[in-house]
Amino acid sequence: MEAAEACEIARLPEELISAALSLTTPLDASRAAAVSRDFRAAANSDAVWSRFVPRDLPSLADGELCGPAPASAKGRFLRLSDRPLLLADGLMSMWLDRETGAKCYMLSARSLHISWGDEPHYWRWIPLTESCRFSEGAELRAVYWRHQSPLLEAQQLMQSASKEAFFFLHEDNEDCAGFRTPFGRRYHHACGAHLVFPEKRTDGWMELKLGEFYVKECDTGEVCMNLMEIKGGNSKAGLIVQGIEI
Amino acid sequence: MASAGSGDEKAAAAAMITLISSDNEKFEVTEATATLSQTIRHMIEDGCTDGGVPLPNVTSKILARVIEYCKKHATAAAGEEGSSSSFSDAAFLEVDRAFLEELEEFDDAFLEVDRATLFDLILAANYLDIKGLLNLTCQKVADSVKGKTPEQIREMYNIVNDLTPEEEAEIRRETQWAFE
Repeated sequence: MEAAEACEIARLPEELISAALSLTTPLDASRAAAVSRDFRAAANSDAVWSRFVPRDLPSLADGELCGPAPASAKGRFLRLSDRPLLLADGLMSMWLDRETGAKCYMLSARSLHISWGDEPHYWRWIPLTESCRFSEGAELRAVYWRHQSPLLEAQQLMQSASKEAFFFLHEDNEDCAGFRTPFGRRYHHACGAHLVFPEKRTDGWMELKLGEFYVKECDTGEVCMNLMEIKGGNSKAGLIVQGIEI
Repeated sequence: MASAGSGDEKAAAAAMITLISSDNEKFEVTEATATLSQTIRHMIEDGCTDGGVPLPNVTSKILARVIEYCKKHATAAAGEEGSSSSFSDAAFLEVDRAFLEELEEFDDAFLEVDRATLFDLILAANYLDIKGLLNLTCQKVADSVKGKTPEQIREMYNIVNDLTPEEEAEIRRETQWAFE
């Protein structure tokens, strides 16, 4: 009698534990797997993980998923969240956030509109290291003013989710100058200008939060992101842009 | 003039169904309420509800709660259908929102039960195939484990860890980021 009261949840069959866990997140399901054998079976089931893999995945570049596809839905999820995968156009990469399952994108520097991007005086295209998903980045040589405005379609991005966008910058050049002052950031919906400082990441790149936006399911259209200097005219150089992460 | 088919449906809508719990208590409910359960809907379609529907897996205590849920949601569904033709769009939206808010309040209050009852409701919702109720009750369990560590989940539900240390280490290795 006492034992039966002690573990009420054991009365639920595996598929009902799975039904409950499929309403959590990949993070919670991963943790629940370590609770007990019953929970492991329920938490690792396809019923749970197939809910975390978005149905409308964009087409990937050839060879991005080499080797046989994992048999389990959990295996498929972990592969898609393990590292960014290059999309078919080679200008964007995508991965799943392993904690929430949200689709994340990185837009390469090549896909951005960079003011005077084709002027070798100002910008130079340089190869990026193996750890980056894109083969090229844009290095700023010297400029007094900046303005970048990439465009992308919101529908393609995500459904009904709030999103944050980050700029990926690298400041490892010794002659890097002019970035000690805050950047101005502006984005379409808010149309407000804020002062922000880039933050250092563990992989050596700096990230600069551009802003947050929210897309409703019925929305289509374009989201416009700009990075520009809004104060002063001091000269800048040494910036390398890898891309924008969404 | 209504066709024979819709006449039958009208008669059926007023018809009462008797549900019999495992402890032999009888519950009279309208067909509209009963057919929120797909299991009972199929029984009605097969014409095998004369003399009552025995539900040997559901106690009278749980069946009473399930019927309470079905009544509320059947009324709300009927109200929404009725209002769509007789209101302008704006008024319809207003009524719609009021219904949804009321339903949400009902659902929240409905979930104020102890754990044993919650699991009984999940089992009953699964057996009777009532999608909304199953989702509602499973969501409550889902919310209870969100953000918790395995240790906290075990403690909350009095679960004995029967994994070997090797098995547990293997699970933690597979998704190491989830345990940091």
